[in-house]
Amino acid sequence: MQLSSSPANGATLITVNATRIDAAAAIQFRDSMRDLTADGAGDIIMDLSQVTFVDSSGLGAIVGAMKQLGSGRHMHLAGLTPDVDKVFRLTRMDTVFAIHRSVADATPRAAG
Amino acid sequence: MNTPRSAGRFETEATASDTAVRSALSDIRAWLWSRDLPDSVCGDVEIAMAEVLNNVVEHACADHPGARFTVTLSVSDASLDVVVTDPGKPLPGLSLPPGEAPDQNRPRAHLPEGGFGWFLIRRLTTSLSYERTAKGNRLALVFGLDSPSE
Repeated sequence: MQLSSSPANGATLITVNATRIDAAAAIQFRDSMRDLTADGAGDIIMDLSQVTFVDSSGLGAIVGAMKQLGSGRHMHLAGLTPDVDKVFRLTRMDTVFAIHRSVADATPRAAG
Repeated sequence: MNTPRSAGRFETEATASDTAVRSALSDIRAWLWSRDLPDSVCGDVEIAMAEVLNNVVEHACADHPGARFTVTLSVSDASLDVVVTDPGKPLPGLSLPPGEAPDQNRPRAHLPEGGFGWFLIRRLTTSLSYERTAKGNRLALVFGLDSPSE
């Protein structure tokens, strides 16, 4: 699972460079997320705009990645494509994440 | 009101594995697309079929190396009918799981990371039936095409 990470005004932007988070990818996704988020502080913004499909294993892995964050750190999801958005809405998992239309919408503004 | 959709049928068969599920879903989606089904229907079918085929790989056929599943789709104006067969072990109690809605209304540490599969399958289909035959499992799913699900 190709994930890339970069700072975004106090938060961390994690970009998913893959088209599917599914049963074949879920374990690797979760491990990579753990590596990228274990040491940091601050919120995570996950850019899902390249992801066209998430199944229940992938959804579980995204929920699991959020649960790995310490309390007080939030996970924001940005750029959900139509079928991914549908899976979040049907399972009501859209209510447990902060969901933004785009990464720009999710990024905290620079102070000052 | 709508132009009649020409009837059609598609079959695929593969050895049960995560990667075979990916490629079956891709073939199914391409076929649905070729039948001029709306994107929202293609999405509903792919989401539901991913759960069905993941269950076949992870549960029914987990202890059956080399087991092959089949998927048959047939489309008419009113519905898309799908039949999935596999030679694996039966559904527990020989019946379809209830697929209750996952409970997201709880503290973060207790949020569900699974149990979404049958809920999604039930939510996205208009009817569902399961039969244990001499050859294994046979699951029939119907997706209504009269009105979009969302």
